[in-house]
Amino acid sequence: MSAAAQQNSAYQRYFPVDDRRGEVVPFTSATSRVRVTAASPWSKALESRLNAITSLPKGWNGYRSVPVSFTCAAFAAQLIERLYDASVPPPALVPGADGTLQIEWHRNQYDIEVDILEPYKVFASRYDCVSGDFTEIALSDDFTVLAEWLKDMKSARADLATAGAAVV
Amino acid sequence: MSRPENLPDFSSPPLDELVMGVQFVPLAGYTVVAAQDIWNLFRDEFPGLEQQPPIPPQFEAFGGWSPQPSFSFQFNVQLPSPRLWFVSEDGNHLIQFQHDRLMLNWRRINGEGIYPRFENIVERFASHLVKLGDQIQSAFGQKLEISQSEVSYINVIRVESYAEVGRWIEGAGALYGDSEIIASNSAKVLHRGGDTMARMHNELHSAMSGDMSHKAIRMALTVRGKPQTSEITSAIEFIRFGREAIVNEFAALTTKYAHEAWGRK
Amino acid sequence: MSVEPYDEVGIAGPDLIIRRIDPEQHVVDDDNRNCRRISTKAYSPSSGENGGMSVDIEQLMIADDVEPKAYVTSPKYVGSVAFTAQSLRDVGLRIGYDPIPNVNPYHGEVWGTEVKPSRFTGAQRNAILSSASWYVQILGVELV
Repeated sequence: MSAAAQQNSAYQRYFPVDDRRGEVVPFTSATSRVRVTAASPWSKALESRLNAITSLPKGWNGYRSVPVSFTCAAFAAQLIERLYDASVPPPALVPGADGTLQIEWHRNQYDIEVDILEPYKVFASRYDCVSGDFTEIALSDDFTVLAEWLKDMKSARADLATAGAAVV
Repeated sequence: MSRPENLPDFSSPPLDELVMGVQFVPLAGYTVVAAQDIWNLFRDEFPGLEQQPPIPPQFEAFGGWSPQPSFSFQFNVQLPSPRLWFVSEDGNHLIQFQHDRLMLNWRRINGEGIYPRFENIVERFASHLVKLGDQIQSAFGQKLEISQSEVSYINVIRVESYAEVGRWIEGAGALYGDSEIIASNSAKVLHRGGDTMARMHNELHSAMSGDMSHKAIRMALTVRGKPQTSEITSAIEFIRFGREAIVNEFAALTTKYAHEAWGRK
Repeated sequence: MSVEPYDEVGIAGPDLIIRRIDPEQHVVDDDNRNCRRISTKAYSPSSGENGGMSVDIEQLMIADDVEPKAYVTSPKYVGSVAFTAQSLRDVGLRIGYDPIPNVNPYHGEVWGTEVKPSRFTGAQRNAILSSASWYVQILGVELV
């Protein structure tokens, strides 16, 4: 939705075709809190999960937890869409007690975790199960490194093939 | 602050609307009841009040393999916090407020209105932000933390036929020919000093007047991104940067014929 | 509101610190280890000021003649893990009492360092992960 005050402009946009790329996803139920107009299979697959974690009741973890904030979820959804790669399954989404959330993958002997504390305040880590290397970085609006990590993760690892380790 | 030198300038640009705004960390505990106090900050200048659906959060992110999608993430149910319009007496100016945004619009009404110029508008917006910041600190004990800034120039070029688009937009004639409908969205990343600064969105569409009697080409240029810091001064600096990028892009995308018609100086 | 972060001397090294686990929210697939396991996010503190990781202090329940496993499982939290206080302190974390009046008198908090009490490093989270043992086990879920 635009910030332009279009409603009172003398001119209205004229093109009867829906200009949004991707499929319009109907609300899944009357109680769904979020709707994702998605371009990628990841976003479609994760819509119900995003709905679930933004709808968690207070105290859901047995302590003083709150649901994932809508702002955090919206930023995460944007990031997920940005990182989409058809060769990689969608990530798991794990809520934090404080309205934050973590996006994570555990495959091809990499553990990638992206902890979203608020928009533009992201801590990402990668653990290489083969070498034992652990990297943690703070990110803001540029996720090039994450894209590279996913690229590394999606390829079958030659070192695993020789070691005979399971590759998925 | 004065207009930057060498920035393309037009005596009568086809500008129909200018919007500048910020998105900030949502106000904890905000309900629509608090909106009265927010409106009171601006009411002398903006006595009119209207209500609109809220704008969902938008974040420009960079890196990754997918181009920035036309993707939206919305609440299904109506948030308890609608978007409020505080409207000036003449209707040409309005402030848009919701629990995580403040925007200032200047717009022509029915094609009428004298463009007050960017420098005047941005100074007013800066002072509105300061007022809002003081109010939310007082009412919510929370600092105004800005996460996103944006500026949009929406231009409307009246035409007899959409086939004229090439007369006004460079290269568009070859692309659209005598199309019945024009719909184009593009985006590019803006850099400064090697750093990724923002994304510029360019929307070009066919348009019709409200009574369907006149055709027009609508070109909207928006620059959006994260300011260097969460402070008001940084948000304003970003908006200035965005404005320069937009005006330069607008001049580059439009034809010499158009520049003559709009009085390029 | 949480207490100011501190380290409670009354909590001895061998004392068990319990963290409840929600199988619907905290468990993820791990293809690397061919199992379902608890996410490190389950061991993250709240990011607000003075925020820590909420826990239950076993010794307080025992002192109050409350059955700990029954307490941390009610009403619906089917799983929990436990760490020794020492294993948390060994990675630079602090543990303190933070009773919630009328709700949970055995509530405590685990905080990060003086500089960043409400943020654990990835290494600290992984260390917590590896020192955890089941207190009330969730079947089919591994501790990694």
